[in-house]
Amino acid sequence: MKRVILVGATDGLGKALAEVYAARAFWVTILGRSRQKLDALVVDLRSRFPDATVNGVVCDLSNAARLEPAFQEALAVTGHCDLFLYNAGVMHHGDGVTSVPERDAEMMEVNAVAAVRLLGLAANWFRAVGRGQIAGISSIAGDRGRKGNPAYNSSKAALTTFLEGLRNRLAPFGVTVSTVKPGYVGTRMTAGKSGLFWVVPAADAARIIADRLEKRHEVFYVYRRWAFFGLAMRHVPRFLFKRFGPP
Amino acid sequence: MSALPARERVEGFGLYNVSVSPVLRPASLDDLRAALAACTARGEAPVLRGAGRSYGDASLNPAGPVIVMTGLNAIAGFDETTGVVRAGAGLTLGALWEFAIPRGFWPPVVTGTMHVTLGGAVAMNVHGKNGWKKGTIGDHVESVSVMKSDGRVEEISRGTRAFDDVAGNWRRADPIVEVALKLKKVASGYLDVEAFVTPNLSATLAALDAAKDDWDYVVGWMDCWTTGKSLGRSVVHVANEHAVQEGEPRGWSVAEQLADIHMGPLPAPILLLGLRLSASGPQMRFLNIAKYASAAVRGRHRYRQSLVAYSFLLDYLPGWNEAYRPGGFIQYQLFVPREAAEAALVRALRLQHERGVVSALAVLKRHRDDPSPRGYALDGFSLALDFPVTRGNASRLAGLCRAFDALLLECGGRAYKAKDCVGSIERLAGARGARP
Repeated sequence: MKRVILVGATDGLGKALAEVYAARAFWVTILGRSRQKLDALVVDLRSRFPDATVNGVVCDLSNAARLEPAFQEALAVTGHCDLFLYNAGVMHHGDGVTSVPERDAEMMEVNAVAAVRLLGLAANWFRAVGRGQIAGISSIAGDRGRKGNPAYNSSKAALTTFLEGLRNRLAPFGVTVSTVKPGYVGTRMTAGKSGLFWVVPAADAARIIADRLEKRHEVFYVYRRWAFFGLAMRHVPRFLFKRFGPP
Repeated sequence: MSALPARERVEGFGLYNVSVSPVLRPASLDDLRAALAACTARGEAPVLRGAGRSYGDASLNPAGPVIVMTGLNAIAGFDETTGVVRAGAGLTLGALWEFAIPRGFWPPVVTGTMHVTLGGAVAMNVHGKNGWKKGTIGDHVESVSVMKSDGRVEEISRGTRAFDDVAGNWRRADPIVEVALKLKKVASGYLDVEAFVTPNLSATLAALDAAKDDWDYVVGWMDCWTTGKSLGRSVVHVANEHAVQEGEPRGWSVAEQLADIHMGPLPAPILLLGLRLSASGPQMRFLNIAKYASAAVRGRHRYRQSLVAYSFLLDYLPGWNEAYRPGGFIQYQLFVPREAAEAALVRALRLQHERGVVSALAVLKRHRDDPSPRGYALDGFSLALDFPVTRGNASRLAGLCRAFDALLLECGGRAYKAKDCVGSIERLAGARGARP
């Protein structure tokens, strides 16, 4: 009976999540930038999962003026919302040493600024309703600033901290806020990258995330072993991390 | 341009459907005019809300304003000879019967709760336990007054073309502000109720069918858990107006009407706590068994009950819906045509067992065909089911509702807006290629 609004679900993990919720006969409303991709996905999900109620709302996250109308439109077609899940995320791989300001800014824009805007709107809505769940797909990458992609790291750090703040703000109102740090997921974002390990196929990741959100877990990694990795990484002393930290 | 008030939570009675909307509460026609103008100025179409007793999303606006009509609740006139009462759309059935019963009248059709408004009742075109004899409330409306977009109030009377589009039209943009309803004359405020049990579904359907012409009120309480030979066993209550004997009270006073409501020895807060603890649990199964068993042990028996005590069972325990927080509960009422009824209802019961979600409260009624263009009632039966929405059953329940939709499509059945919590009306209309 869940009514789910997914932001950034035309690709990768978000698309897999949309499939998981559609397979459960839920209401799934997808916010995506490309009308064409969105329409194709909605048609596909509707035909594969006729019991689900699937809708798409076009929303370019870099267009700040569009966010509130898109949020209201999503509510209108979904009826109400039990889970608002922010999945949109951009990662630009550079050469590992050169900053490209436009690309860095875009990562901050989508992964953090648009997230703050939309999650803030959702938080206000859920606070009034007094139940429900907000979730954000953040990343283990946000746990430390790394030499390879400082902008991506900081955008995810911002998201993680923002979600933590919302969690503390909304707890008295009966609203759960969850931070998901998936670890490596087999999507376009990670395709062709070397040095990856514990890679989880997107479909499996989506199923695990949906189940753990259902249990109202607040902060979790897809494979539990990532938690130990994350714990260790957060506690590596600065001078060692500087010298030997991962790219 | 006047600003709309701050947004607040607005809920359907089942508490599953919810919206966050600016809520306008006009207390007069002028207020309503201003409220409509404020919405128009902002380009937002309002949704009209009565007392909010529809279970689902009928009175919610997910992305816009809600106008609550309960302030327009004045009684404008009553004609003792014809029984026609003119009242504001926000008047509740509760206030209406309190006005009517001392004069020897009773609303022709009432819902299971007295806390619905007249306007809402007409917009949903509600039915009661006398669905076969009296149809829906739209059959007894003489006229309605609506407020047009320019602020004029216009009366739409029975017999005109526009009137066909009144009852059951919850989408109308011009709010109903006044309803003229023809009340029925009652010689007594009491009913003779006969209760008996039926051992299985076909016996239940046969009993309701057999009783429909001899009894005004016919209703069955079905135990959905039973399987096999006792699938669909029920407790049936039929009732007729009590024939007043010489020297007997007529039950025309409010006090006499309310005196018949017996809640048992436990105080309401204890009952609410009990419901809260058991509403989503297996205890409900045993309550159903106990209800059937106690009726079976007593055998066929008669008793006298006031109209209020018989009609408004949902009001015995005020605030009972709160026991279902935080997930709320939904209703699904299947309207199935007579010829297909048995097969369809067997399927509806088996689907609940297959999916592992069984209704704790199931009410079976007999209906007559409603030929009006927006009618949902048909010559057949309706089975109204209650399901709590919990974390554990969410996916199974969603699947079950969609399976019910498919069942209705297959057998030519209908859904009913006041009970629709899961968008079944839109789905059925979409599949049939019609406008919902």
